Amino acid sequence: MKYSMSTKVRLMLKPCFLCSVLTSVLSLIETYDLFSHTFPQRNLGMVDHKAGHLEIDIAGDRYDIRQSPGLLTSSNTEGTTGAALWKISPLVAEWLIDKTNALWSAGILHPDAVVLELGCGVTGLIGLVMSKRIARYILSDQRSVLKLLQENVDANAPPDTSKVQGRTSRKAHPITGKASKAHVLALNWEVDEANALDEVLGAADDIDLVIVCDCVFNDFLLQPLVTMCQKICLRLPEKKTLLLIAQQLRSDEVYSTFMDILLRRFRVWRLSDASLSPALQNGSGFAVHLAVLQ
Amino acid sequence: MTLDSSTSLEDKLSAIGHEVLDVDEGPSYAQTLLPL
Repeated sequence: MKYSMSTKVRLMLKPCFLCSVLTSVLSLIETYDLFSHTFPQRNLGMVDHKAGHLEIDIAGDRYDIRQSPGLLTSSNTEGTTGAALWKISPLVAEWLIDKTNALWSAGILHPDAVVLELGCGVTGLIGLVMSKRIARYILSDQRSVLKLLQENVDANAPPDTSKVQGRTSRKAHPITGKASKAHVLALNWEVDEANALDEVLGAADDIDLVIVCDCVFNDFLLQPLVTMCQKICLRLPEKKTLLLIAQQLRSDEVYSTFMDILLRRFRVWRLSDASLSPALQNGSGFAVHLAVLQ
Repeated sequence: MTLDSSTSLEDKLSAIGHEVLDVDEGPSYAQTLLPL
């Protein structure tokens, strides 16, 4: 069996102090490499923080999105960053639904896939887009954003094409969202356990992909975020659940700390430019990593 | 590399990206700093 150099190092050092040091050093190297570019934009990355309503076009479909400038400027103790649409979300959504992309060609995404998003925010845009292409998309976030999130899911649910009394109904369900395969779930990384997913999933239902989009910004939430990812991946031990982390690169310190925590529990791959859309490639100011539990 | 149902998830990930801990194929800066 041929081992890569890093595998040999891991086998020699794990678990020990030197392995921990190596992980920290490699976190810094990965962060340095990501942040060594001059990014096209250096602002926070909100699409429009003043707008209460946004119209976003993705792959020929229009999404009417409500966001909450009021919550954004409030002192809500559960956090306010989920109240707005961030620029990376439409880019990730557009890339994810492109069936020529690496995740589809590798069979990681497929029409029967179940995807869970952590910290999706009030707009839930990626889920609104992705839920049309896969079996089920679970949008999760703090309780304070769920009401508006559910309204966005309902408002953007695809037309219900189920047959009613022998005739095809094209009428959507704006209240129940029954035509949508997107499900809304309260999930607090700091207090909840993975069994919170039982509300929307059967005990034996697995998750193919966990998406974490633009959630790496707060030092205090990094460990709870990684721990929650770990709990979800351990939910069904026989199933390997893949983690996708898409992030606007803002603070090198925060990102390095996150990568250090992540690498202690997960094996992590940075997607190559060939696997990404131009808007997400190296030097764009965004990074996309995939991870599986060690 | 042909990716099919028999390909392990880790091999698929290595085909579409590079492992952060893999100094053989990782960022060139890592290879410079860590000639392991």
